[in-house]
Amino acid sequence: MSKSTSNVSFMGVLTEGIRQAPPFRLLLGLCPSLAVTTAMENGFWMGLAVIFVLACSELLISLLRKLIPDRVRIPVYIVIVATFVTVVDMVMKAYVPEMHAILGIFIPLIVVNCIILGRAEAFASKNGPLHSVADAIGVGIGFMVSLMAIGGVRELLGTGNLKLFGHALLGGGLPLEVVVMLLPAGAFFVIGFMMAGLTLLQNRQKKQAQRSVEHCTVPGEGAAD
Amino acid sequence: MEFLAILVGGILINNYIFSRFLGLCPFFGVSSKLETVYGMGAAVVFVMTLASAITWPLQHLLLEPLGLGYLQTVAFILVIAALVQSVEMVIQRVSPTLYAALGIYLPLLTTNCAVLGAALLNITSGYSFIASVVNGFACGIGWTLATLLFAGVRERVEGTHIPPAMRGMPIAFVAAGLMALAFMGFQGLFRGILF
Amino acid sequence: MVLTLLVVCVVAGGALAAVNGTTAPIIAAMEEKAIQEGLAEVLPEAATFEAVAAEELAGAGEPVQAAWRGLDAAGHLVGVVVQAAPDGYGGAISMLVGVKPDGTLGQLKILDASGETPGLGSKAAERKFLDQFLGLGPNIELVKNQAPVGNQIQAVTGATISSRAVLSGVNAALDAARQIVR
Repeated sequence: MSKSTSNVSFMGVLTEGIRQAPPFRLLLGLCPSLAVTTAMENGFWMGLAVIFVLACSELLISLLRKLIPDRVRIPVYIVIVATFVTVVDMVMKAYVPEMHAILGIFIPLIVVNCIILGRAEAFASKNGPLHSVADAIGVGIGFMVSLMAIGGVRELLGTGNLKLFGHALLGGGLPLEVVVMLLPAGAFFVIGFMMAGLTLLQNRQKKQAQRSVEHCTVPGEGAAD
Repeated sequence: MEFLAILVGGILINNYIFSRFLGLCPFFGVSSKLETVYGMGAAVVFVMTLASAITWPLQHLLLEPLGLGYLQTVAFILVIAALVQSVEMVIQRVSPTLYAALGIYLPLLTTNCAVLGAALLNITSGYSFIASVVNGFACGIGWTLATLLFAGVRERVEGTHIPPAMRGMPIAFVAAGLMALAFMGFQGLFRGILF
Repeated sequence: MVLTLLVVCVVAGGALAAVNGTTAPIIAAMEEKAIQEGLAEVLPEAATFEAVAAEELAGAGEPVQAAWRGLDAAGHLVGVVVQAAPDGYGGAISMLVGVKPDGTLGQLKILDASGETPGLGSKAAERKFLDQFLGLGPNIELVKNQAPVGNQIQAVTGATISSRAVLSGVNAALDAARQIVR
């Protein structure tokens, strides 16, 4: 019985993590969201790096949570995260050097990405290892999807094509070259409008939920949350 | 002359917010009110300058000679965390009024990518010790300038009519984008001297 | 308490040293391979490359980092390759410049231009821009918004800084090559 509930909880934590979708919902990890999203593929690799660091860090911190004295907990978290970040840095430099050059200082900057320390503090220090890993993968995937979405929009509008692992996804590409999208200003615009879009969707969902409640014939029994 | 170029570069040309995307979380976080920006800005400038001053000798006198370059990230972030902690304690003891004004912002600076970013960029740009300190100072000023300007804009925007979906963060981002466009005008300002 | 932190740091340091031990040689080998492939691409007529000693490059301009003499199977000089790293828009642009014995340009290869703005400055690393350099001689000039004539190249529209950076690297390489061939 406990095994099945913990499996359900694993997926539950995972999907909740995805729904948190930084930077849109959580407003964390803004710096890489703007800096590296000049192309969709950059978003993929940055997301992958973050998933790795987040998962390893949350796992280790969760395993050690009873052993770490409260006073030194933040420095210890920082050392753990920094170590995994350095590992990612070295591995990427050895195996995907071009992407490593593109992501540049934002790889070591993962260590101060508020998402990582935030989740470590909010989740890993209080939950078991399995759930912590689920949380890490969930939030990480949410972040990766957000980054790829932002990168995708900027790349498509800025260069007219989307490239993934060396393949152009749209063949010859569209005749679009809105260069501002590839510049810092474009990053701000794209995120701003995407946030607005998400808020619009959310408001619409709320309105629909309200309407179905109003149509309910049995008073006192509302629609699903 | 090189220092003037670094100063102008850090404040205007390679502005940390509008060019380099460093220090964005607090940029959006404290810019809803103009007064809070002064406090955060002072803390940022102070810590960035000190962090640059401490990380440079750490890299060039300790890590590199011993071939421990790969420990850079861990060492730097620990140093910055320790620095922020010490600065907080010193301010608390020396000037309670200053602590009341700055105190809450200091712990946030450990995870401020601008501080670690400046330390890392000083090394990759190959700056000398003094150049690194000047750069840390300049980038801190640049961050504060950008955030001050932005807070001013946001306060004005709050009073206008905005469509519901755009209220709050979305319109703030668009405003930041327009400011980023404006700052692009500084590119190439020091053409012969900086490059 | 501090002991915990110390223990964590030591373990972390040890782990990183181990990973570094595995990855550092791979990284070094890869960088070497990239250079060798670049040399072959830039001066295909050469059978072997001989590194030029640092003392001979002492008088070269600042962007010049290294150089090789290209020799054919019989040991005759078929050209020189210079590695330069001029400052671009957002960092150095690393490049290999092939120079023929008569001082004119052979091929150009950009090794790293990741600091340039994608879609703008990055166009200065593309063949369309670089092919303009073929066969030109020392002291190339940059022109904007007009067709280049003689020893000139046209900058990428909207990417003057990146274009100028590539040009300065090429000019420095040509000067250095002239010294070496002598």
